[in-house]
Amino acid sequence: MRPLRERLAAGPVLVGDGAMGTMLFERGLPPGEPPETVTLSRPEVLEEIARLYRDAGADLLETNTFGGSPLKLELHGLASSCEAMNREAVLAVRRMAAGRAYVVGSVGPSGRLLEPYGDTKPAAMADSFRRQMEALVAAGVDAVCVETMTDLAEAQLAVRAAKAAAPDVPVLATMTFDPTPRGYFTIMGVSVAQAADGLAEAGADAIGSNCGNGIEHMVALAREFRAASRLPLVIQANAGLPKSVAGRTVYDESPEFLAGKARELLAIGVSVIGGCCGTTPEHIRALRAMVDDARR
Amino acid sequence: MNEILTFTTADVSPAREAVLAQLGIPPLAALPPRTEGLLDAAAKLFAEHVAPTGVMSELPPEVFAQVVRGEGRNAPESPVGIIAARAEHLALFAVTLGQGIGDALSRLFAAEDFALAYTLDAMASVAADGAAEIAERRFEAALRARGWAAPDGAVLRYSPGYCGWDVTGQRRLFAALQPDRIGLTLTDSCLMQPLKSVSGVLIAGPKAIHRFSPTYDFCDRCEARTCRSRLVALFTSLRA
Amino acid sequence: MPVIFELAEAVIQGEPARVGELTRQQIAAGVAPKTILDDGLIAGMTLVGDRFRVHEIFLPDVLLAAKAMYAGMDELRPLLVRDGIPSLGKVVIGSVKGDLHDIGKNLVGILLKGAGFDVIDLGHDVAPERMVQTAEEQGAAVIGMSALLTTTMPVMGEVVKQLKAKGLAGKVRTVVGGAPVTAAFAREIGADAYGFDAGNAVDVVKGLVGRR
Repeated sequence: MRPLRERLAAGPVLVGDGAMGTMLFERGLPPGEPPETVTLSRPEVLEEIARLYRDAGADLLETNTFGGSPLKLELHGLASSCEAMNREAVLAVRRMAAGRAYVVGSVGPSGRLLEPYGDTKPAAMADSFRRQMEALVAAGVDAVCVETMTDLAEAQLAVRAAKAAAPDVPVLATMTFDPTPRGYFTIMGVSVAQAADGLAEAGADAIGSNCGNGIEHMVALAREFRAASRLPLVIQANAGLPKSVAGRTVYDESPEFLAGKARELLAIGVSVIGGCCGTTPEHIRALRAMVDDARR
Repeated sequence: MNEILTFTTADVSPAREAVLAQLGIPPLAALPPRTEGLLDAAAKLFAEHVAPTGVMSELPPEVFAQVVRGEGRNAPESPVGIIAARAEHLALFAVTLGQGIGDALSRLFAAEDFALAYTLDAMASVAADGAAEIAERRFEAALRARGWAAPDGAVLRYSPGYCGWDVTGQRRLFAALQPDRIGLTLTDSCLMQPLKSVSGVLIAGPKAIHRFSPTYDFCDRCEARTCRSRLVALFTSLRA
Repeated sequence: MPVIFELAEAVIQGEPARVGELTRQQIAAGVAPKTILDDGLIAGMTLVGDRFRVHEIFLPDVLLAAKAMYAGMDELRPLLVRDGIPSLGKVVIGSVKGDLHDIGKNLVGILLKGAGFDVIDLGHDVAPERMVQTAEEQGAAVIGMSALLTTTMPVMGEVVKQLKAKGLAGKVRTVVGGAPVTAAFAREIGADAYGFDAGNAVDVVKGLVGRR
């Protein structure tokens, strides 16, 4: 496989994978349990999920390490398992990626608020991300994806930690925005322009948005990112908004709808198109078909 | 569901760290002995005078839509309205620590025992908020017991005076909830009495409905800004 | 250590009995009351304010210091009156009509007294007429108003209007504060100043009085 850095810069467009959480719920993860617990107890579940997304056509397979920083794990008393959880999650995906897809280490928020909003010091948060990044890199990820971030300072700490752990491993960094009367902002009040500048400054190799929105808002976000930055762009959309149907949470945007609208992302010049909450292998299959079709 | 909420003193007694935070004291390695003394004295007074109680009343979304409209003074776009529209279940609620605390505070100020008064006041503010949080959990527990399955469901509270819901909305809220059954009244200026009380709506639904960016005009004027920590706690978990 | 410094230190440490004792000592020793006030009591509170601002000490410490300072003031007051020594100024404070929140306003009162002002605290739920009348009768330099509800903020505008109507606009200055109050609102109603918190309110009042 070509180095991921090249694919990000020169194309062709990469298809990301879909939601991890719903897949885990369907395979017995009890609500409220951190997903990372599945890694050590039943790694075969992670292999299955990776295989399903790989066969659906994903180029990037993310690891089950979203909440794998020690600060986040500590909220469940699991910080000491940080290294093992990150390593085994990477190895499980690597066994399935087997040269057909890139292994991307997922790094989500620490669950803490930095001073002055909260009481976590930057040094403590940086150290937490460092531990996670070192474990991911040692286990052999092809890239790291810092995602679902809402606080720019935290995102920067994570990106820098990744770069420090392995300068040559590409770092993707995406934030979650909400549509507001004044424009798109994260829940911490960060604008797209601020995010683009801040993430680039921290050393991210590709930037963009994930989660929070269905594909139509994501297309608008992609446009704003494109206007604010020359870096490769990453967009991972939710399958719309969640609704409760007969007691189950269902997302309302179909694979066809997602893929159809996602076509506009190609024109905008996005480098990675994937799915977040509510997306399934079917959504990824539809994205794959759309991307392949557009290349003809 | 329409019920009186009962709380023990222990239920509403706030954690030390929270009281210190409310007083603006950061988590220090060691507190000066006299600050410890103040906390102890305040805790004693708190336990002696607190009489916590609450009330919770479920209502259909269409009815809440009327309640939240209030006297028509809400901001044109308000997170509460938007979130409530996507809710699966709603309940009006009110909690109070009772008048005893307020009276104790008046006495302390009259006696010029300022430091103790402020410590007790901080304790009571944290406790009132804590009682509201307990109401959130009780509503969620009741819903789950009834079969509400949403694995990514969450219950969050919203109160008049915040997030674009004008404080005059208290009047419709009180009319609908009738919290005078727990001794809670509203002045003409929409002030609750006893002062250490919280009222509002409990909104249950998928976590995602609660997300909003605090970038509205009224956010600039907000002193509380609790939305940030609530949303971070809610959303920096499972990406799902 | 010169006794006057000991007095300031006792204020800082929040020791009312010691402050009372040292104040009596100084009076007996013939030290001028104004000196005891400025270099002992107010100096102590000023240092307290400085340390509070840099987070060396916290609110409870400030309040204990204020309480201690009052003990000294109780001893000095008769002498200050006898010698005709004025305070920094008279300030009328209150929570406006419809508002029963006390805490922030109380803190402003405590800090103003600690800074050497004469504070007339009308309490809460104060009608605008009463604020204006009291200020006039007492020759107050400043009216400080607090509101914690958007519904009661308009009363502040009423006070400003009534002061104008009585021709007191330049003589009695107004400062407003409270959670929903903003600098923009203060300008809108024609208040002279806005205090974003209790400490700031005291600084603002000092500024307003200095300008006279």
